[in-house]
Amino acid sequence: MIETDVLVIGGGVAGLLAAAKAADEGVEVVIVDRGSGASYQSSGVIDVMGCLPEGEITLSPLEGVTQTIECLPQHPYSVISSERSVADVIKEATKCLLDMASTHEVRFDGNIEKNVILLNTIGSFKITCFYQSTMSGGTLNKLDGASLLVVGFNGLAGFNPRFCASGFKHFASKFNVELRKADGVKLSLPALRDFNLTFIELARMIDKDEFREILAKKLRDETVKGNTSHIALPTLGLRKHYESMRILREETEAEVFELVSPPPSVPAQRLMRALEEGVAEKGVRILRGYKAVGFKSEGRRVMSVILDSGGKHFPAKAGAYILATGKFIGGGLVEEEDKVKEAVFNLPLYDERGKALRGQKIPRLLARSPFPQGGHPLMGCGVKVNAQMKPVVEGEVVYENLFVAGSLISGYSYVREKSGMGVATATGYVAGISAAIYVG
Amino acid sequence: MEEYDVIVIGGGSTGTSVARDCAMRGFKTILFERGDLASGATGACAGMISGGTKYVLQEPEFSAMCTMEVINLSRIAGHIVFRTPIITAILTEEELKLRASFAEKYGALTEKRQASPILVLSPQEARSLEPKLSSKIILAAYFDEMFIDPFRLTVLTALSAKRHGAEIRTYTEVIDILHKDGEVYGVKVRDRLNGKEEEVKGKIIVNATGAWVPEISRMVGVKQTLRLNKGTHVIFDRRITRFGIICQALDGRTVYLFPHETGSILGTTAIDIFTSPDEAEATYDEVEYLISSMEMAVPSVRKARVVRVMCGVRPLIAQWWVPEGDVTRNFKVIDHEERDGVKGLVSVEGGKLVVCRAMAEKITDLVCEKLGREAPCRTHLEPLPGADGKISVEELASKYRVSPQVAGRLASRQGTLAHAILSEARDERDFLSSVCLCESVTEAELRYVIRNEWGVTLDALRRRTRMGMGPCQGFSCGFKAMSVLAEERGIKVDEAFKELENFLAERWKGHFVILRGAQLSEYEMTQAAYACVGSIDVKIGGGDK
Repeated sequence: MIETDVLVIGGGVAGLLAAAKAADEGVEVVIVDRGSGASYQSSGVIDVMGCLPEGEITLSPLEGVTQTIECLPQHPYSVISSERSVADVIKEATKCLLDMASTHEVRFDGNIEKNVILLNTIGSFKITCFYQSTMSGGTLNKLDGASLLVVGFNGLAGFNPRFCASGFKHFASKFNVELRKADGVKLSLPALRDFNLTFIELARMIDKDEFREILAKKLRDETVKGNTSHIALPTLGLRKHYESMRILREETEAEVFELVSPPPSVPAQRLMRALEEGVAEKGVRILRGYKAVGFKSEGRRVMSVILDSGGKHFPAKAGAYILATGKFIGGGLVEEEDKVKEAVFNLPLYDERGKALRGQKIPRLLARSPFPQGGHPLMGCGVKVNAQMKPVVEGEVVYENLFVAGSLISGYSYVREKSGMGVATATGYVAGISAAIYVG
Repeated sequence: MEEYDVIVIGGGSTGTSVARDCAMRGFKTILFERGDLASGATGACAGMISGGTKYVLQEPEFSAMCTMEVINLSRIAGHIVFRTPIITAILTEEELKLRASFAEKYGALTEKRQASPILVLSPQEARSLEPKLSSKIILAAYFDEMFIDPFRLTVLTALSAKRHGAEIRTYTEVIDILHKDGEVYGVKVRDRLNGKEEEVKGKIIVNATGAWVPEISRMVGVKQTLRLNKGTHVIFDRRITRFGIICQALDGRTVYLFPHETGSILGTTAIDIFTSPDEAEATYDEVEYLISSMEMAVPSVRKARVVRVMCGVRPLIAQWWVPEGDVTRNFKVIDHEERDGVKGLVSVEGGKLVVCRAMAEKITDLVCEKLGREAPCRTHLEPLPGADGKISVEELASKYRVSPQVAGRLASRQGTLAHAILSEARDERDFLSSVCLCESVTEAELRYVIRNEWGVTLDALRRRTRMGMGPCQGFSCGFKAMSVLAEERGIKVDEAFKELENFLAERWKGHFVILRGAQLSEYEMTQAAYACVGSIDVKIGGGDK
């Protein structure tokens, strides 16, 4: 049996931030997490708003937020802004997250006023405004006139440096950035598995001094040979990424940076570990392997949440509950008889425009093309919340001591907007404060 | 302009078999397929090669031909032929009477078919063999049937045709048939990858386009009618049952659930269609019909993970006033000179996968007659590429230091050619990395099929290797394969990403109809990875500076 002031369900970025903020307010917080959710599958950067509703890139995240909430009054950013300036909330929330990360060896660069283009290991790009400082050397605006070397490794699966090099040249020119040169090379290094090496395994190798030394020498040779100004690597390490970056920069005298990668990405593992350490330092307990499967309520109060651990059920009691279970990856939304259902409290669901879902089957919420201009209606579906992040139905609060954070909230599609981490951070922050105030 | 003896239109199992037979009998042959090989009905079937239990009584002669063809296919393509044990689960007394009547006659043929005799099982016996069966079954029958990988069959047949001198042109659409004074003399084609058009001359044109036969014939003013009948399958992520299961559908038809490759396949529906086969697509109702039917016999199928749905169109001979199941599966070779006064045009109606070689033999006999050449058919004797010997998976795995899983899957697709593929990776060990983890497809295999098997699109790579057919449906392999394809074929970056989009769009066709359970998480992963990290949906407007 768990008893605490605030129980956070879900240990992704939204849940961690909610927990951190509530703990900062001086209340006791426990996080229960069924496993690792969508944040572990993210790219490890914090995007706030990358694209406008029509799909165009926005260079200013805040301008993008303003334009988006004009179109989508149910957007979580809009809901937040009913009491305070949304820009202020996002700034405070992201600061809280970035501070926590940086005290645990994951430093970020960038600012909320400006989106940048980062290159990725697929050969294309990612739009974001905050990025881990291992990636800073490679924001596209810094690559004009650069002579770029994309470095792969024999044995490393899923990364083709030659293709990426041509991809970067292509996409850079679309953004009016001319790479003087972009080449790809595969290094053969001892001690690497000769095939099926993963990014994480490579990261662990780079963390090792001996391996890093050999890598530095190889890179120096390549740099001299190609008159290279910038070096892109698929990863810079899991724990000693700054040390590696510094040493490789010194050795090569080139700007060494890390590419963004699709899941499972090393930067995401680093970020999540840093945030977990950050909340733990604030006295928050994280319980892994506990899945919320039900609840008990009296009137408009949640009395307890039923947790499942290895088939055993037991209750967790708290003054306030924060639901940060995400969408389908996180398990916050599930399918039942082809309809979407909120997994723990069976909260009523709404679409991106704020309309209640009335038993539409999932195929009705999908477009006929995989990446349609407006996104799939399904990705905009979730729980509707008020300014305190309390779930509401037809304007009425469902449970007065329940708060929701992250992508479980309806009214936006992070897939289309490139706003997933920003919304998770901002809503987690607000939910954390609201829950703390409620129990305090 | 070069002149061919034979122009084959259609790159399914039939068309490629015709090209192979014609080439083997010494005709200068070219085949045009507007999409990829096996992209029509061939690629949408369950791969069963048999007379099918239901044809034994109705069409004994045709059934005997099917039996013969099972033997022939096992001889020429042994490594892609496999035997699946099947339990027919009987749920009602009425069904029992119906099934009993042919069990005996069917059983009499099993020895000749190299199949096990039918074995009647009590419900307890059946459930001890296959615990997933419902406790409501009243009786069961065990037998087995042979299956083939239809994708590999078609590609290997095309490869064999090429080895005998035929030219195979995929993604090349016939847009017109050249004809004068009641005689065809060639075709006008468009390369769908580069848009180039050209005219190709030929003496005989074989229309082997399945459901598209009437559309091709119309080009020379010939009216041809088929009974076009749509069939939908539901694909599951794993083997739900150990045995194939056959049971009665809700409407009295028969449905089946077969273990298939790494998953299971549930089929099929039969719906007459009256629009172009291009427009045929699986529907939600079909999925529900299939699952609701099968869950009577295998209740857990309801909760099983649906990976995707697919549909194809059967080009049945135009028999009407009978249900689809009673329409003959036999085929008709049409000499349009005789029937419509159009010299040089031959088409084929009806048929099924198992008789593709026999269909080709009949057609090629007619070609021989028309071009005045006597040459015996040898297509049933000569093995297809990779089927010329046995291969030891253990030996393959230890020789090239790959996992038995990778070696086994490769050998099941490529037979003895697996050695050539892995030996190319001897100096490039890197190429042994798996591009597709669901189906154990290495980069070496991809590079091989790009170079040797008309693997010009990601979709084509999928058909040849099963890349992207597993639970993740292209999420983790799509971008990796894209870079390999781009590198091998010298494709520009924007075209490569367009190709990736096409591939994901093709996979999506099997999802938007039905997306359930754990597959929703896979869906969100794909959306997030490709849109949020890969930005493939982003419109680039202003500059970054």
